[in-house]
Amino acid sequence: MADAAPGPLVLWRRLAGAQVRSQLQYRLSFALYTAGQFLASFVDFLALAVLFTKVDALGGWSVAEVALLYGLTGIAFNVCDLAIGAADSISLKIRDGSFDGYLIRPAPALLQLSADGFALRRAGKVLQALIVFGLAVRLLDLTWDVRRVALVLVAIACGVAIYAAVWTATASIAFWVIDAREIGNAFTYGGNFLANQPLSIYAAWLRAFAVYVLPIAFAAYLPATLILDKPLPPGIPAAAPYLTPLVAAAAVAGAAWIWRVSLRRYRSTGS
Amino acid sequence: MPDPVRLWWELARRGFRRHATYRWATAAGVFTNTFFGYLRAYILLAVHRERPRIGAFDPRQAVTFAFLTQALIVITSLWGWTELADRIRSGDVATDLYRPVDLQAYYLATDLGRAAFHTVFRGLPPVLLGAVVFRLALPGPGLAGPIALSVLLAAVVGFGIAFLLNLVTFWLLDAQGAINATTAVAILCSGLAVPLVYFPSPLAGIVRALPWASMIELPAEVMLGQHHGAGLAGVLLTQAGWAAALLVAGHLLLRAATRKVIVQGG
Repeated sequence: MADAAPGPLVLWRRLAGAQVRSQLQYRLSFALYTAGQFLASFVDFLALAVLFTKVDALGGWSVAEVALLYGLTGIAFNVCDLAIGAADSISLKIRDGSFDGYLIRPAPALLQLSADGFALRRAGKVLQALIVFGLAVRLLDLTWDVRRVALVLVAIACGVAIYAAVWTATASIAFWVIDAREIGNAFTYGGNFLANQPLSIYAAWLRAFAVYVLPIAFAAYLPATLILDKPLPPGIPAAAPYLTPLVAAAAVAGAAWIWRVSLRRYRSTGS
Repeated sequence: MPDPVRLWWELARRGFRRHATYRWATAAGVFTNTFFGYLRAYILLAVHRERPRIGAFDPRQAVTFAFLTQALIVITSLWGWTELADRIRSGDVATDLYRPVDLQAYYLATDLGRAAFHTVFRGLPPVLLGAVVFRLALPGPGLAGPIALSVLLAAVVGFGIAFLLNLVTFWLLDAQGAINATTAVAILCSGLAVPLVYFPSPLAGIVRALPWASMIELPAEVMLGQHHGAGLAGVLLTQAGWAAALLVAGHLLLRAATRKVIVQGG
């Protein structure tokens, strides 16, 4: 009378739901943590505001345009953080053996890893990014036709996918050299920090890196150039922004492959 | 050497050696700091393209500042630590308090050993790697003394804040929330997120007077040679003032905690 194993999405919801229920047991602690995360995430935006008291433009982008970029990257990054941010704990879990527990269960290890460390309080950071985005929309004088709205939605969706790819790929480092996993933080958090500023401020080599190596420029600077009708910096092909969905798909496929190969190696070498 | 000095030295040595064993973490940290250093350097350069001079900063100083702050946030433990908080929660702090060594002095000596290790192995490399692409405004040898003192005081200020936050565990049982909140303020008010000189006028003065400026902004400015004579003395005195105040506060708070303490785990 056994039921068929639930699909991955249902499973994730159940596991994450259990985490949420346990976190909500400590209501005050949860409220304080969420409020704290929410307020703390404004710090980066406040720093931006202070910066703009000294200049009118950064890399040719006005404060409202930078705020929109910040909002887009923030929404994408923090939704991703909410979904699979728990992957950061992979080194800890490998070291104390709990990761091996995931391997003997009939569900994908990555799903278990992210559901197990799901923390609803990270939603505060998504809210902050939404607020900054809303503020930017108010400040900007744009007509919001179907094309623009669609671009925003695609930009965010592709942004989430690209960040998820970066997160998963850097988590895989733990399967090779567990102590080196922290290097991945430079690409996840550093990548997001890079993406918060218009690409035009960086030197050519760093721009090329962010387009061709670690495709952070697609989450969400390049779509943003279409949304805001901004020129591209020199050296970036004009077609690039339109390739965003393709790049996102390729990044996800690449990261999935890296994860599978790394996990297979981990399994075969024992623990 | 008389006994207590020998003890502090041995503790510092152990602090140094312990962090020296984390080779990969150190390498990963250098990589991350260098990456962020480059990003912040480009942001500041973009600002200086619009406005070449801001306060005492020109483009070259601004770029150097980006790497110096990355060094200092590690040396001063801007993100804090929870070693003592963990021991308070587990109850192990009881054995620590039985030792004939002042708890604060014990942690301070160990932390300064760590700071020495981080100065050389995590502070220097990002600056050197930054010099690969950028022309940095590095200080002349004449400033070596004031710089060393400034960095030492910055490390003590950083310790003072972190120590106080750990002591909060005696009352709240969880220091992480307080640490997170303080770190958020620190990022904004220390000069890391944005040089304090960018703050509009009344705010800039207020922020410079806070302890976090003594951790990051002020020692960085000293290293850039922005202060001389009486001004330099003033900066060092500000740092020393905060260092002393935070250590005294830590001492008093520890006394209050050990008087009425509930030790977890019996």
